[in-house]
Amino acid sequence: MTENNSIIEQTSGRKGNMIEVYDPTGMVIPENVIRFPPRITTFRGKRIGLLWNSKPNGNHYLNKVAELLLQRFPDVIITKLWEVKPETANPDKKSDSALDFIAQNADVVIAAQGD
Amino acid sequence: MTQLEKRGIPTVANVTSEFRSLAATCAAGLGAENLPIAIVEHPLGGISPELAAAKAEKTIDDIIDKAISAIPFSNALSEDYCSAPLVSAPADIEAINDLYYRNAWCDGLPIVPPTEERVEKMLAGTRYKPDHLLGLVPPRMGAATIQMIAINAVMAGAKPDHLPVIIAAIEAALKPEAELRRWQATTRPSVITLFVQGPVVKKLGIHYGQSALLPGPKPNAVIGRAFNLTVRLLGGVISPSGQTGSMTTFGMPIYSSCLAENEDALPVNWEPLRLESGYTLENSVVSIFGTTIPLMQNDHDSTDGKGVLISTCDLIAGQLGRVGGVDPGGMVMLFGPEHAASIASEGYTKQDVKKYIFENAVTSREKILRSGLWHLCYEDQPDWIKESVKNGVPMIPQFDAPEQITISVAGGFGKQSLLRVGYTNPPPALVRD
Repeated sequence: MTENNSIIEQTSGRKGNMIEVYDPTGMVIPENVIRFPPRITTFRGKRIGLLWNSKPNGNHYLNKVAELLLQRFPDVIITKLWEVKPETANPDKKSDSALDFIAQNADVVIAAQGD
Repeated sequence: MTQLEKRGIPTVANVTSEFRSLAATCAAGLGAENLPIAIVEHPLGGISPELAAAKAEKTIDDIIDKAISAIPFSNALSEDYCSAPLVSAPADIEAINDLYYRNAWCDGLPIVPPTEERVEKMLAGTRYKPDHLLGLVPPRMGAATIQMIAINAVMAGAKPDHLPVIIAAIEAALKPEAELRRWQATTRPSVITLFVQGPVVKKLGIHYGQSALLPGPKPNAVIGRAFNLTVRLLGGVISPSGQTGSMTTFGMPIYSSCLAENEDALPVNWEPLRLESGYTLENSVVSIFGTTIPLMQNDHDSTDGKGVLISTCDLIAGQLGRVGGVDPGGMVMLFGPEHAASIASEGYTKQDVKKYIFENAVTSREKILRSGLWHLCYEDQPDWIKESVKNGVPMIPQFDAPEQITISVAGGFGKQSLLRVGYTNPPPALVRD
């Protein structure tokens, strides 16, 4: 049975003959289940990478995030990745060199992804 | 985000509220269920920079919390994908359709209930085993087994003879070059068209001539619908309202988009499209044009082929942004038989046509810069285009190379052709019957 059991039961609760039909959405196979790395326990002294995907205003939003983080944690080191490595702002797949750069320069990444 | 998490870097994605569901689906499909996501009030684009920045004040606490909170354990891999689940339903056609509609298991139109018996009959149309896995449909990464495709084919009203074409279409869409994730997760009005070629076209009666895309011909209708149901339901493209759909802002009322190459009307010096991909005349294949809405090339005035090519270039030049720089697939031009005959009668081969369009479909630098797509797609532009724009070259080519242009013939009489500007244009897949 599927996650939609409640809806199925509501509909199939009527009197009359029942038949079996397939759920057409099938099963999910994640590409590779990711083992998440440990989260940071504090922002103090951490290197924060801000990642923009080139969508309008995402950079302005992240600039404000930087300002607010610095107010709360004056010793964080903030890198606006799109300024120092423009290829990180490619909205599609990131290149290996872009990913390597980010990984070498940030303890945590905060990204603006939306439209 | 998932690529960074794999490299050991914790992340927090900031996603606008309208994209919350899509972001979670994408993350889960990539193996990162429970990826930290901070929700920003929609939208960020189309408002002043000051307003966009102010939204950070509302999310900053959530960002900090998500960055330092442990991630719950995921058990996403515990399910068996080889056999589709059966559910009990009332033996009443209206009640079953109500069930499928409520569960967002359909496209809004009535379906043929996929019972075990009907699916078994459908599977007789292919030599593939039911548990053969063609691939995973993004962003949900639903398992595209032959059985799942057969279930959706039954629902669409297809017959067993149609199944090999539907399977080939799914195979083409799952090729890496297809970048199916882009079609399924975009705000653009994407339409995926199946373009069937080879002996199977006449064998199944797939329409390729007059009004080939008009609703009516059953093979076109059910093959295209089965394809759309499969990629949408397995891909889990759910709109914020919870119904089957996508993130496309407007969407398109396209339940099926399938036609065939009009091989009868190909000029003698124009080879069938499948030969360009290394297939033979005996092969049947399905190409996938993952494109935005079709545009009409409605040239009644030109009395020669050169005139048709000029008006074609004008149509392409009028598109937003650089067609080839925005979408790696470039474009597909389906010439109507009359336009194709005019062009070919003057000796133009398909390669000549591609070269002509590449050289003459040019747009002013100023127009490209103000298209609304230049900065967003800047990193995708080839270096020679970036240099041309930087150096003030007045007219900029729409394509990176002639190879981004696909040419074929379809449809019937009339001074009409059809332009499809595309996201991607993956290689075709072989129909194995």
